Amino acid sequence: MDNVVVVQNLNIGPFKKFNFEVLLNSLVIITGSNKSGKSLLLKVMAGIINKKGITYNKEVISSDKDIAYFYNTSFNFETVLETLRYPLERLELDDEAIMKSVKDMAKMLKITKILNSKIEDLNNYEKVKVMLGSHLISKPKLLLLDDPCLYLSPLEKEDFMSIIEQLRFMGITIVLACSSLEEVIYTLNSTLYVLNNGDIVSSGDMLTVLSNDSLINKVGLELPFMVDLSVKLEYYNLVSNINMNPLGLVEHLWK
Amino acid sequence: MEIKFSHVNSKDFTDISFVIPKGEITGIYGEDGDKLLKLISLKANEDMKGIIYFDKKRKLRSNYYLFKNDIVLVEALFNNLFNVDNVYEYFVLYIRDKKIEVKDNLEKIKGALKIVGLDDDILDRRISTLSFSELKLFQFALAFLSNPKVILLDEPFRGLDLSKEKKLVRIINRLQEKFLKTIVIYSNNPNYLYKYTNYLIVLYKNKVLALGNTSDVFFDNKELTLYKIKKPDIVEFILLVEEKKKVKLPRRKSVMDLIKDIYWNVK
Repeated sequence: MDNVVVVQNLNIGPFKKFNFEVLLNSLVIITGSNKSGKSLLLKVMAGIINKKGITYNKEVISSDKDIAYFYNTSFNFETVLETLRYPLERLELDDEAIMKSVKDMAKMLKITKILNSKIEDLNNYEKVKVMLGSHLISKPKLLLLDDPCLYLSPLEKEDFMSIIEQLRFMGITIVLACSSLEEVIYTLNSTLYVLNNGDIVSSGDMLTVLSNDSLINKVGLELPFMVDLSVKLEYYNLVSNINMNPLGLVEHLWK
Repeated sequence: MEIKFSHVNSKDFTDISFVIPKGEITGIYGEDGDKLLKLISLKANEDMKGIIYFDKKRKLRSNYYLFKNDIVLVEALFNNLFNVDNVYEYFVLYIRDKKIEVKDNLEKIKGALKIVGLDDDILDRRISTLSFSELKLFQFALAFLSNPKVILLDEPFRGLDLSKEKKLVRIINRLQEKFLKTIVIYSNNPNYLYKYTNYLIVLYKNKVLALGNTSDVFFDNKELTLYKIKKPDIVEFILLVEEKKKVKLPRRKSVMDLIKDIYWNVK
């Protein structure tokens, strides 16, 4: 499978001779404790710092416009509509095309009702979705998200991650850094990397990585409840695998 | 300090009444909880109507100065008020801005740093180079300078790893137990509130939906279930076992304890 971006021999911050690659159309999740280097790695992949250490697949990423880097929810415009329109206005598209794209984007993100709202009147989750929309509207190929779920509630995290899953069908490669593992469990077929002081200490399929609870706790992360419960029940020989469905687990335990 | 809101109305709330008990860790849960913290901190009260008491003293427009340094809000994100980047300089400007009476600035600042477990070296650093967790502890240290009676925390644990979260919890518990501070924590994650608060106020559609002992509210309040308000994961699991299997497990806070209960029950 093709790569989208390759990081080679990175020597910056906690990283020493660090190598990393992101495969085309994959959903990569990078997690780790504070100061593990996850935000820094995203900045490197975005081409903001240390540009020499990265190589983009030229067939996918032909210019900076193909990379979207979401790192905060600070807005330059007063309304949702202006925020979503601006990236397309810069491309000098005609008004009809701009409004069609904006409406389609709003529909996908379920923000049609707030299209004419002021940014200051939005709640946190709405702000996150509007910011995501402003990045997606110019159709990037690589989407880098630095802790987008930080201030979201558990239900909002679940909804946000279902949107992220949809983006993969649109051919977008996604790299998401997160400080909590709560949102990770809502993904399918994602590749999880656990960073600790600039080293990858574990990587692979999400459930396989999470099942190593002692390593996850050692790097300072908390397992999501259902994973934690399943893994500990395995020690007591009460279950044989991770069960993410509470009702299924109850039925299994009290069968 | 006890805080009492009696029939308070504002842009975001309709007729809310509650008491935040003195010297406890109170949680605020639900939509717009962050806005309620701002109301309590007296930061956003231009359009507020109703009666507020601090330790049974009524807050009036004319006596605002009596309370303003007693209540401090640690915001979810650091907001640089003075546009300076040096940590020490920021501390000094903060002391001046809040009109905090200090004999020796450096001594006072070092005392605040000690409470939060930050080294004095941080004073020479630039705010823009602080890590997420250092910034959070820096915000805490600023909050302690005025020796407030009430500390309001907006999403204090977000973005912190387990060791930093535990460190912050130790600081919060010490402030409550040793210094009898009233602590109010807003979070939209019920797991944090269940673990770390004793008293809970639940907001729903601009009103107070439930209030009381945190554990009792999450386990027993029927309205939370009725309005499909997310409960802590461990509570949902214990209630599910009770509903489906008619087995009443003890009300645990840690997964380790729950596992032992399950083991003895199903073996």
